[in-house]
Amino acid sequence: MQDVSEFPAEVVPWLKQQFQSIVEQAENNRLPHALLLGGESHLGKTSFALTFANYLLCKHSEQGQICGNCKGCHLTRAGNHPDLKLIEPVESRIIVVNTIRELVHWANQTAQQGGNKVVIIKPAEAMNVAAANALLKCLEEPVSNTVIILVSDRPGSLLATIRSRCQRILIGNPNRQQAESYLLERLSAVEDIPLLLDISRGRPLKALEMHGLGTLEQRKLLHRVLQKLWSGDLLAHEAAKQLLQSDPEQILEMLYLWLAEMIKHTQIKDFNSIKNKELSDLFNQICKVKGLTGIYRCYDHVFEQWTALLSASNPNKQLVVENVLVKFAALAPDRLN
Amino acid sequence: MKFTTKRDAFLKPLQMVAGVVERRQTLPILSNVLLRVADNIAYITGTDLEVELVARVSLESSEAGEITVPARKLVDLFRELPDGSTINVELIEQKLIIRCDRFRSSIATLPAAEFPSIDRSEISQEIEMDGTALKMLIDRTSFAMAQQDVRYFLNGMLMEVNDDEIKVVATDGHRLAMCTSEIGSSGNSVEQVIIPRKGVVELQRLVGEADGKVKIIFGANHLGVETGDFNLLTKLLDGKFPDYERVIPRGGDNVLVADRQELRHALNRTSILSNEKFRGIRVSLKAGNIQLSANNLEQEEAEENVSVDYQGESLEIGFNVGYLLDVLGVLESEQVRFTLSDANSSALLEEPGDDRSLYVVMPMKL
Repeated sequence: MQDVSEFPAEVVPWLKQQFQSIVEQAENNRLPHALLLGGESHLGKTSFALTFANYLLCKHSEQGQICGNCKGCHLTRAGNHPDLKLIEPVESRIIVVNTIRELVHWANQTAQQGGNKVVIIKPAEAMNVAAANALLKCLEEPVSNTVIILVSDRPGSLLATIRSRCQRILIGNPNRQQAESYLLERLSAVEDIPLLLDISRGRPLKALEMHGLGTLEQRKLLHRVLQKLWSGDLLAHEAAKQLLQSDPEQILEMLYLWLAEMIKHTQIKDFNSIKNKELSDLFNQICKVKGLTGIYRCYDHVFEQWTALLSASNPNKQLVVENVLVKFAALAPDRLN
Repeated sequence: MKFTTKRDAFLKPLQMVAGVVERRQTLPILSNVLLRVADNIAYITGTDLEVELVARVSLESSEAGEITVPARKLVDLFRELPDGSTINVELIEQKLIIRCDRFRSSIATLPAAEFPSIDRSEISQEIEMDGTALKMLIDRTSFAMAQQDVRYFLNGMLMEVNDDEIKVVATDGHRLAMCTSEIGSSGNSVEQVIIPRKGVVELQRLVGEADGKVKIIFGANHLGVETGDFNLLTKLLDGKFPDYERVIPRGGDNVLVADRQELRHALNRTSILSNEKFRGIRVSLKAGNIQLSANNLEQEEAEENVSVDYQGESLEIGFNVGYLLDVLGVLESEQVRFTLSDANSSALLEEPGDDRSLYVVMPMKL
């Protein structure tokens, strides 16, 4: 997750047009009382929401530009604006009903600075059922001059009653050119950009984050480990120990994406267009030995474990990784020893 | 910023302001108070984002400026300094330096521009009235406000100005309290605001201390109350208060007048054996006498006869005794007058010969 509540936030280039149109709505007094920003993570939804909030709270904003000098802007920048509420899960992944009740209490009062009031709930799907239901009344009978912005990576998992009360803004991926030029301005390692974009599925902010986390090095490590596992030089639990030095969620996601791509390209028999080139040899071998079913079985297993890791149940990370690696090792040709 | 003040002149206002500041704060700056010095007056501001209290303190000598400092620490420091001492306060390089005799301290600050003080623009009307009258208005009605009702506009108190009258109304849907007072000046335009519960509580605290005139300022988004040394601002509830005139029963013909204290004690005694949750009490009216009776789930019961002035028809009606006791508790007259029409209609409670306060209590099916 990128850093939140950093002001002044800036809208990423590929969302400028959408931002402009919502600003136009606001300037024509046609702004809906609730917005749902839906789309994959790392596409700039949060900065979109924060910039828009800043715009609504600025006293002298013009054509989508904030003045930066009024009291509203000062307070927003200091993170103290009394008419801006940022609701995020604290300590757990869930936004609980009490937080929302407090929010509703707050929303029913007049604005402290005498302008708009803005609520940002992020991520909206973190609200549990009770919290979401507590919000409904407020979403349905909005108080004057109050805008509720829901930010969601998975808008489909929101209650239908929530979704239907909001105007949806769908946030899509930037095109390749936009994404590359965005990264060129921010990364010095130019040669890594295409690969970073590939493995981040075209999401520039994810690519930036991956670069920061050293994901490319992790990939190399994973590659090495899998190769050794495959050739029988390493046992699953030893391999897991090596991999656990980095984030298991990342490892599983990488593995998952690799397998997905592998399956795709095995189906169309086109190994040249594989983006994850380092592993194509290995996968070719796997394919020869076990066929598509073997890969599918592994793919399903990785997916299952990956979602388990992301869920709220908090499984033992080492066991999850070992489990996956054991399954992977089983793809190797049967060895006598 | 720089000023010199007597400890005793500064401490009391500072403590009042710090009382508004909540201890558990999400934003660090909210645990601070804003100190602003101009023209030999220090303005101390504290807020919890719902209400804001500003105190004025005259200074002996000063240089203008503003800054925010942690409320708790400032109060503790001033309180622990000796009585009658003179204190020098100065802002040097974003630290507040406090000197007194041989004591010196330096406190961390946050910039004043980041302090969320309430926006005071758009004032629509100002009225001036007697402080004790305002206190009476609040004391006599605030108990009837709803608590955390989903009808959020009931979680507060309606304040209405019309020509030379100011009226406050509070209701939770089961009972209603209304109190009216003269303003002393006429020609005021109609104004209606709903003050949230928190604002009412702080206002009550403030006017309890003040005597003399208070000024009430109606803004688009806030209500301000100015007493001599303090200025309280509260946010408003953004909603429409229900049409309270429609629920006030007019034209009941069964009028009962009872001794207020006698009835209150009788109700208190009887209520002990009423159902703890519903607190229902049965009132049987006969000429010259009422019988109060209550029973609970354990089949325990209590009854008491009270002589009253009543000439109407025989009637049996149930009430939540808590609602009756609340009303009898805030009235000050010797006697209380009930006006009833039948067992299914609400009762009107008033002070005989004084129509400033008025209470409506819904009956209960027993």
